[in-house]
Amino acid sequence: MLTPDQMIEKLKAARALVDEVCQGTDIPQIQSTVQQADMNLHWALWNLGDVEALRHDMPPE
Amino acid sequence: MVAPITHHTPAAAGAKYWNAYTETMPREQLDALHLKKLQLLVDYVWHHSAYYRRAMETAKVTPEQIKSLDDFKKRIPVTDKQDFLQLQAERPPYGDTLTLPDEMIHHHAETSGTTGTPLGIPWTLYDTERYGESWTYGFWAHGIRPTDSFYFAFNWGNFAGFWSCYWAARRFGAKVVSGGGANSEQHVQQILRMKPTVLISTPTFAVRLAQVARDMGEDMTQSSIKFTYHAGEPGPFALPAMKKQIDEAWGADSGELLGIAEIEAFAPGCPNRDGVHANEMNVFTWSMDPDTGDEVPEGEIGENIITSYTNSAQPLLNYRSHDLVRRLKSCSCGRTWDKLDGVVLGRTDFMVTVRGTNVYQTAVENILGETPGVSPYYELVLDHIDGNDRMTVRYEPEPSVDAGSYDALSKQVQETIHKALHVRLEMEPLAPNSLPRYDLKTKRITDNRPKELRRALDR
Repeated sequence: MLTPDQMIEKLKAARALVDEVCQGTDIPQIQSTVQQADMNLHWALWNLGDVEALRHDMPPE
Repeated sequence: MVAPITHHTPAAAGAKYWNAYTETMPREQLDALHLKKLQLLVDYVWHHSAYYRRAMETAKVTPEQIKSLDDFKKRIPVTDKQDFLQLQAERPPYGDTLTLPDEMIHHHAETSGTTGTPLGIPWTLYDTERYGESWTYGFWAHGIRPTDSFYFAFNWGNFAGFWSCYWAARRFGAKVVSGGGANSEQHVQQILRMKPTVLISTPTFAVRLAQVARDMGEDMTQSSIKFTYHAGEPGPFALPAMKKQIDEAWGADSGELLGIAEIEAFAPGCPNRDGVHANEMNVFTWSMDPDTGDEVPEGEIGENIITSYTNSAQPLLNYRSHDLVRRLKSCSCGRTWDKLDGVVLGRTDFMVTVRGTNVYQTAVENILGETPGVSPYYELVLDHIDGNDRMTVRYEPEPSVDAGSYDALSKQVQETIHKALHVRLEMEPLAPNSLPRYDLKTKRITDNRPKELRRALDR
């Protein structure tokens, strides 16, 4: 099983990938979908104690 | 053969906790996380909420001054529902409490309005996900799994409480069967037809539904329901007698969650079934003496003060719940999250002192529930007579009790209360079926005391 730190590392990498698609698409359906994916990735990080911002769509402190 | 599609891998499916990492996190680590989240939150409201900026400037505090949990408790103003109601009344729908543009609001909900005008509650999509998550900790600990199916025995109005349970079932991945628009008999019929395994309702409505089923000739202990889960009023983890009644009526394990509509479903049930735990991923809570505003130590009764990290549209910081709780810092269930032993013991606004003795609502309710011959239908009436608070218990004896025995039954209950609580309460037996039945929150307390004679903070 992955350790919490390993999970955090992979989740952050996933957010970076998702952000690339979000910024790089002009298809509203895809943008909405990956925004929700990012929301859930932020939530997973929050629940592993990795807290950088209150919401996924806010910049980290 | 292709592997079957399932909710969880075998390793996750066998887990004891929904999230063992955070539910058993050491206190020091939890507190460090709280401080970080609170600092983010204070900074957020300072920059995005006209209401909080005003309140903090009046209290002469800035975000940079919050360097410890104590700083937060002592320096950030305590807030109350009344403040928000007033702002919403002055400038509907939300006053100047919003921190996000209205276009970001996904769901408008409201408080139940049991005690007056309902408070409007704006949620973003993310908030609804996080609110729902709080229930899921309790479901998992109770043995409920995403393979279960949920029956919602209530009508879908604006009340936030059970919408949040729907968000939870969606988050959990379980099947939902809605009881919206159905009356009690139709609820029973739908349960028998659709065979859900989890009943979601207020605790008193679960008792009532089982009675309605009996009147229809159905025995719900033989139904598909394996679990019942409750919120909205004191339930099975607050009232052992209620636990026994529901478990026996449904042949199922009852569970309980403590939530506050405008905050969230912040305290899922303890697996020991004798209290709830604050979900410390979503909220920061502490106990306050309602008269002095000072923090109350562990194990003593105080008012639960709650800050939510998850209402990002209308944040609530150091929010008065008016619930009196006994906070414990450890629990044999293994969770490190604060335990509220016995859930809510009473309300600051309904606590009465009769001949020098504090009387808590749940203490009286427990005795009523455990006395044979007393039905689950009763109310507590508070008066102030000749300079003293007085509590009268108006109750319906079970229909099987002969009217000629009412006086003896009243005397028996009165003596039991006197022995346990050292106070003598007035008893008033009523004819069966004379008190109203509710399918949402049951109104248990009628407070006839003049406002100026209630506790100063609750006027």
